[in-house]
Amino acid sequence: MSGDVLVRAAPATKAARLPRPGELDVWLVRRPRLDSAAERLELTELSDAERRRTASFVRPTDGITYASAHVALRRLLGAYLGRPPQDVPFVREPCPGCAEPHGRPAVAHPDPPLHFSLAHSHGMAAIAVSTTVIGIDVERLPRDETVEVCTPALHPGERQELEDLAGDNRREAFGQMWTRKEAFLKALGTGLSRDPGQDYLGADVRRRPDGWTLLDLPAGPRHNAAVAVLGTEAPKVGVRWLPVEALFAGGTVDLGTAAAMPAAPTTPAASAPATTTQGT
Amino acid sequence: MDQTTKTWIFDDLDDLDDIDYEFEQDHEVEVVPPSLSRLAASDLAERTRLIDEYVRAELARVLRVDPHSIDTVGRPMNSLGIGSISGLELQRRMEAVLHVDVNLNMLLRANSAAELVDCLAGQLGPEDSPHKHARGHVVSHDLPGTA
Repeated sequence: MSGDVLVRAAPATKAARLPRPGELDVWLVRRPRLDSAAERLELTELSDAERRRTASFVRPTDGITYASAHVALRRLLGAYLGRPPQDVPFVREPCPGCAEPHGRPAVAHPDPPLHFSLAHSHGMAAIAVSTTVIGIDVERLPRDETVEVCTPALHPGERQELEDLAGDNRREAFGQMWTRKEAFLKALGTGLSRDPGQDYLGADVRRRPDGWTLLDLPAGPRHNAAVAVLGTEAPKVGVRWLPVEALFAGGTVDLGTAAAMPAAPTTPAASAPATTTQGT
Repeated sequence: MDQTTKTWIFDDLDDLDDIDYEFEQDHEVEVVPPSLSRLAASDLAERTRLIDEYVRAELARVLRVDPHSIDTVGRPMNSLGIGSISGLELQRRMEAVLHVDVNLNMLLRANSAAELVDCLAGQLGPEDSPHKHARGHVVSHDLPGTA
């Protein structure tokens, strides 16, 4: 599913170290402290476009979160592919709607393909890496009034579930539902060009889209996160924090030796979160 | 989500207060929507001014910032801080007030808020406008059964 390769990748300098089939690596990233982030983040590894984008955010915190996410992504993918971070060969897959090359972001590593997905929101980023099609999302917990305004846009079954909840439970359920939905739409390749009310991504696993596995991820007390994986067999999921030092000049990413942990089993009524370890 | 797990992953991180900064910059914004009859009676320049004021206020409410801090010209929506949930909230608020369909995906990909304002101003006036005909625009008039 890597699609047409649009650039020819330079030779790798080290051996690639891809996740094994059936494994899913999830990395959680927090932006550095605001008072030192600009000096310590290794922005030189970013592309010109990524640096321009970093500078374009109105709120400095958003720019630092964006830069942290992309430094982490380049360093992680570089480690998986055995390449320097600045040489990670990003490409675009064909759009599922029109086949033009503006679909899902990917890397030029076609055999076997390396799939990744990146999301960031308010101080946190999440990166999923696998040899199968995936999508990930992380979002800050929504406010009550946001849930109120947005709920009518959801699937009728999702709306029904939210109507039965109140207060913090409702915010939490909406946030988890939405991150499942956006993770699924990213994995599908359509993004939000597909109506958010079309698919059910609520708590009942049996009603979710056929052929996909959705996993809720632990993401701290301020965020929700979820990942969508193509296939019905739950992958072995390893969720790790990327230490903030790995984003700084001179920092490196260690893919670690920790064994991937089995995804928490899902029940017909609700899905349990995957577990987390601290990265090395 | 298991609350113990959610808390545990932050236990050995000493700067939770720093990330709380993200949640303490809330700015309450009161939005006064323009009336549809006034919009329809205004010329394009005045309509654009009214909608710019309204969209700026809605953006500020959704983003929790001062409306005067919103740069409507030089930045794409995501650089303003609009993500998928805030984009959905913005879409639904504008649709409710202006009685138009706003395409969420195109809203999120708009090159600037001014692009959105121009589309809305073209849609909501009596004049003929390319925004009323072309497919793939950010906004379109309500169609029967789609509201």
